[in-house]
Formats: sequence, C-alpha cells, structure tokens
Amino acid sequence: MRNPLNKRLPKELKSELGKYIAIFIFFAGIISLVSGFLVADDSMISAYNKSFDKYNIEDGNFELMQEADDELISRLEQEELSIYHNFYKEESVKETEGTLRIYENRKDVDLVCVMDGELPDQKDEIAIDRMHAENNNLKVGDTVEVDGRTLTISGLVALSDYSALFSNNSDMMFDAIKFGVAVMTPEGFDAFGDSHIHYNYSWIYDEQPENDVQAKEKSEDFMKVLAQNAVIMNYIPEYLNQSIHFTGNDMGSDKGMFTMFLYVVVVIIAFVFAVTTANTLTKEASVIGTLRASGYSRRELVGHYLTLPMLVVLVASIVGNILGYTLLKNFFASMYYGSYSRKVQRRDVKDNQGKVSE
Amino acid sequence: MFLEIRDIKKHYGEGDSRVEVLNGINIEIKKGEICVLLGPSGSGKSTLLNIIGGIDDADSGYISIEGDKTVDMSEKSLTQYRRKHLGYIFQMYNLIPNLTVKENIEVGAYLSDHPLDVDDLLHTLGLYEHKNKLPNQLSGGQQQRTAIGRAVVKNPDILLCDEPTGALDYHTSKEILKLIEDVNQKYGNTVVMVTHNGAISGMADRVVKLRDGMIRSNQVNEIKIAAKDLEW
Repeated sequence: MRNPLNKRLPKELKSELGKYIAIFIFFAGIISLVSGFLVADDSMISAYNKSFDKYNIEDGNFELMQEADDELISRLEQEELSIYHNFYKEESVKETEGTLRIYENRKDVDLVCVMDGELPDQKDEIAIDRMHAENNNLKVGDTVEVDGRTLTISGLVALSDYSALFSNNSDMMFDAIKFGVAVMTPEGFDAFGDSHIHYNYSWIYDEQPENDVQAKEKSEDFMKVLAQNAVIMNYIPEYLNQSIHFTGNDMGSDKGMFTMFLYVVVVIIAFVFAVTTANTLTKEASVIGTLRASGYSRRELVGHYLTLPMLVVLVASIVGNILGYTLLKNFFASMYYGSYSRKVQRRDVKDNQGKVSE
Repeated sequence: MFLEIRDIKKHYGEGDSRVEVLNGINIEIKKGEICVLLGPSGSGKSTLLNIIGGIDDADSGYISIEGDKTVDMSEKSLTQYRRKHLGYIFQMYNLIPNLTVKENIEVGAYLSDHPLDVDDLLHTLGLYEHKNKLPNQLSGGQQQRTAIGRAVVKNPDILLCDEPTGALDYHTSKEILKLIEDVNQKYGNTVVMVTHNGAISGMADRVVKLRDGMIRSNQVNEIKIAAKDLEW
C-alpha cells in the first residue's frame, strides 16, 4: 500500500502555490546566477591560463634609452634568456582623441589574436584592439587619422600582453576608451618616423621559473646585469605586469566573491527553510502528534514534510543550472568580454599565424 | 494479564512548581475489556493514557502488554509498539484536513500488516456515503467517527480514547460511545477510555476513579449499561 500521506503533496502544492512559486523563483534565480557566473569564470580563467603558452607571452619587458646593438643583445642573452624587439610608438588618434600604442606585427612573442577582419598587410592598414575599437564605435573598414596619416582598420585584435589596457603599469585603473594598442606592418610602422619611438624589448627565460619567488629572483638578477650595460627607462617583469595579470586576478577575485555570495545565500536558504518548517510544524502540530501516536516513525514524518520543499528546490536547481549553463554563462562571459581585451573568448577566431583558436 | 500498569509515578516541574501528577498507579486490564479512567481535570488520567500509549515517559514503574514492558523498548521499538498494538482517539479528532474521510482512514490502514477492509469499516461507521468528503465538510460526530475509523482500521489490540465525546453534544456523544462499544464487541479490542463524565462509566467492564494522581477506586462493573441507554 502506498503511503496515503503522499496524496497530500499535490494538494499542499496547490493550496500554497504562491509560496512554492516564490521559493522556486528565488532558488532558480540564485542558482542560475551563481552557476552561470562560475561556469563562465572557470572557462575564462582556464582559457586565460592556457593563453600564456599558446600566445608565448613574455617573461618581462624593458625599455632602453636608445636601441640596443647586437653586442648588448648577445651579452644579455648570456643570462639564459632570449631577447625580442618589441618597439612601439605612441601616436594620437583624431577620432578617439586618445592615444594608440602601435607595435609591429609580432612573430615570436606576445602573439596577436585576430578577433575580426585580418591583420594589416598594407602600409596604410592598422589592426586595433577589439575592446578599444568597440568603446569608440570603430569597425573593420573604418578609417582613423593617426598622427596625420589616414589608416584603414583591417582587423580587430587582442594583444596577448594587453588583456587589460594599462598604458602605465603603475596606474590604478586602465582607460580602454582613450588608450588602445594596435599592430601594423613594418613599413607602416616605420612611416611614423622615430620621434615617438620606444625601444622596448621583451624577454623569455630559457627555463621557466617555477613560482613567483623564483621569478622575482631571476628578474632582479637580470635587472642588475641590464643596469650595468644600458640606461633603463622602464623595467616590468611579467609577474608584475598589470596589463597581463590584472584580468586573471580580477576573475579570480570575482570567483571568490561569488563563492562567498553562494555561502551567504545558503545561509539565507537555511533560514527560509527553518522559518517555513517552523510554521509548518506549528500549523501541523496536532496532525504530527496524532501520526506519531499512531505509529508513524520520525523518519517517515520528516520525509513527508520535507518532500515538497526538497522537490521544489530540486526542480529549481535543475532549471537554475540549465539557465546558468545556457543563458547566463554567455551573459557573464560578455560582461568580461566588454571589460577586457580577452583573446580566447570566441570560437573560430584566428591568431596571426592563421591558426584557429579555441 | 493483558495490560499491566505497575507503580507508575510521574511529576512535572521542579522546586516550588513541582507537581506530582501520578503517585503510584497500579491497574490490570484483561484483554477485550472496556476500562474507563474517570476523574476530574488535573487528576492525571490523560497523563496515564499518554504513558500507556508510549508518547510520555513515567518517572518510575512500567507498562506491560502481554509481558512486554514499554520501559525496556528503544525509540524504534516503541514506534513499532504504537504501530502494531495501539489505536488513538482524541477529543479534537485531529484529522488531516486536506485528506478525504477514506484517505484519513487509509492513513491508519497503512500502518498495519493486517488492516481491516476500509470500505467495510466505512459502512460500519456509517460514513460510506461521505467517504470522499473533507473533514471540514463533516459534522463533529462524523469527524469523530472518522477518527475512530482511523484508529480501528489497524485492528489494534488496544484502543486509547482521550475524552472522545468531550467536544460533542449529548446525542452525538451517545452515537460515538455506541460505536466504540460496537467496535469492541466486533473486533475484540481492549478499550481504555479517559473521561470526566461519570455516566459513561456504566458501559465499562472496569471503572478506575482517579483524583490527585491516585486511584480512589478500581471496580469491575457487574452490570453493564449499553451505551445507547446511558443518560446524563
């Protein structure tokens, strides 16, 4: 014989539909928010971490007062690392009333990911950072006047060493509207002249440091050697580079915040359960007493009174997770996408070597 | 002896507010007897019934049913004891409001390995035509009959009735008492009934009078009065 108390469940649901709908909406909403965020955040952190190898991101960069000659490069590379030219020029842009930091196309280090369009192959073409372009309503095919030269935007890109657009590493926050990064062909780059050139170099260790402490030691050792051989204008090891690490740190702290939010919600849920259960027990005291006196076990009664709320919560959890994994994951991903020059967000984007990224 | 109540003592509160509710109660009840526990409010009769029913503990003494002492039982065994041996009838019916008459009786049937046939019982209770009604669609008498059905359908060895007519008018009370009498005769259950209505003692095989937690008299009725003939 089936437990006749189960016949109460649909009647309870019907008679207290408003309460259960409120619980359902609350749970489904919270769970969809949390699961959507955590799924988006986890996948983005994972892609972000993979990007260091995938795009061969530098172990640090430095700027010299004047261009280093081959002898200096050879001397520095004796420190078990490789040096790469990564010169840039900062030029004003008429349309944005801001500044573009323009690099030559990278071939070996800090590779560029093409999000839309193509890399420039003409002298008067430029590919600019995707987020900076969106913030200034610039699209592929538009023209911009850079230092008096009219350039056509051939593509929208993400530079792997600029997931956050800090123009200066000591800035508290970046400004992706007034400041952007771009790449051009060597001919197009040379056409600006050398008045705004920065002799910037990137390095990659032959053997990667195992942790930040080792990275710090290695970078300090290298800086001493560098200082003995050249005049340094700027020196930023990778582990201190906000343009590289700000995004990862921010996503990590967001995850901690949402996890804390989840814990708070769990406490609220427990409180709601305690209050509703206490109300139910008060309302049902005589029935519970009678059932206990008749021989129903404590377990049977606990099971009976928890079935409906648990069922509602279970369905809300499933619905919340489905919503989280589908709609809200994309919503949160797009929020990050609007904040950072992420290079691994969308599928089927090509890096500068024509490979399709994840 | 079928039901043995031996030296039961019970108190509530401590210090100045300590009240001795039961002061050494000894009763022996034969199988199939109707035993009425008679006494004024505060005499300890409901407390005694709850101790017999295993829903309250005695300070000392024990309840024994066919040699099994409830005091030696674990929580699980006590639940099984209530499930297999006891049927409870309360003054305020305590029906489940969103189950029909038949479903309320099935709640009792579910607990038994060998329940009575629910439809037969509905006929016996005179509730068959009301079986699909909810408790709030019934009169007080009909609700109490449903509560009796819920207790009886398990075919329990002992039927514990706590002021079963306390909330009913004269005529309905007599109907309910007759029903309890019929059930006792038809199914052979032992009935322990708590009441403060002295007239009801006429239908009992044994009448135990309580006052201030002590037994004032314990008499076997030589001549029983049929429930339908009771007057008060």
